[in-house]
Amino acid sequence: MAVQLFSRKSVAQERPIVRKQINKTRWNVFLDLLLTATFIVELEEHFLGLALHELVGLFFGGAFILHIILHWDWIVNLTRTFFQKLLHESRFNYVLNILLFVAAALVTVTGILISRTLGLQLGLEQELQGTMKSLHMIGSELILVIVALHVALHWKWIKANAVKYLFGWLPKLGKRAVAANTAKVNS
Amino acid sequence: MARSEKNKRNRRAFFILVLVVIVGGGWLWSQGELRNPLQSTAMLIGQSSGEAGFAMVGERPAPGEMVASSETTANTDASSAAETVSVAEPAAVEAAASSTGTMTLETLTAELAAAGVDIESVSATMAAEGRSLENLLSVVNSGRVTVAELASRLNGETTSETTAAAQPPAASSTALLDIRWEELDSVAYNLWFMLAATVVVIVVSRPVGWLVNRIKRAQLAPTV
Repeated sequence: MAVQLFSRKSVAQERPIVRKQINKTRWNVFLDLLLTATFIVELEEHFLGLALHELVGLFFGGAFILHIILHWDWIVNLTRTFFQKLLHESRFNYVLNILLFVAAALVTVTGILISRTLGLQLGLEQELQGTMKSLHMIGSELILVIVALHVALHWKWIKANAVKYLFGWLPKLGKRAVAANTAKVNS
Repeated sequence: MARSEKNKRNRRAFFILVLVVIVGGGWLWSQGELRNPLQSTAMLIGQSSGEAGFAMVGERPAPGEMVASSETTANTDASSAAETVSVAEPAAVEAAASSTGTMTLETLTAELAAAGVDIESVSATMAAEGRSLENLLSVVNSGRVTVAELASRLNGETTSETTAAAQPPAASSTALLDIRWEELDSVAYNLWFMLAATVVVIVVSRPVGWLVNRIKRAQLAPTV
């Protein structure tokens, strides 16, 4: 019995550990596409209706936080080295992202404060609620501009990875993506 | 070889993007959904001086409710006009228009007056709320509503009081699945705006990149 147990253990030790690698880029592609689609629809509360607008808004807030967590290394690295290379695209991107973060936080918080279907009923004063609504709507209009710039600045990454992960199964595009990656590695 | 092939592909992708933006823009223009987001933001800021702020979709009364509320709360002609204007504006913003342009205040007031709108009372009530006719002008100039539609809304709210008040209020828009497919144009506009911004950034990034490189080289060049 003991011999049997021992032998089993040894076999297990010999077996190579196969850990499924999490493809961070793939996660980013799908999450970002989901975020963009959600944002485009979420902006039009006339389209969704108030209840769904508020629920989707909460979901968007959660997905937005996840997006930040997935890019945390980039944020930390750039914060540390911000002033070393001021004339770099990433610095403009960084400032834009901070603006986007502030605007998204403002819109999310004001959205929660003025929500009417989430069951919070915070009982804010009429005037304060009016101000919150104004901030919520102006903030969301500004976010559209910032997100558009954010998407535009990451266009190369979106194009490359969307082709790879969304349409990679198509034979021609799949081959191209592989060829492009091989060329990149060789160079 | 590989590089030129890649450049060719990138150029083709860019032209497809430009084509999508142009065709999409044309379609949105024909639907009256093409608007300047900065202008609409300025309009929102202009409108935000009201006490209650903006009317969200759940708060926006249905046409029957609108007039019913104006009927119950309006005791004088002036206050009736105030209700009419305050409820007509979100409805006007919501409405799709077929023409855009830069109209002056004089032209707008003249056209509204010609359509039978009592400009003086509208102006007086808007002034009492801390707003002005400029707000209406912004709405019209943003292309989301035509003067005729605005006039008919301003007139219609007052003339159809008795008939509309008798109608039952529309279903509450706080229901979970209250998707209004007729508003899909606005969603398409958001997507179009992102693509258009991408095209602009790609075009602008070339000269900006060149300029930045020049500055970098100038900084790195040894001073004699």
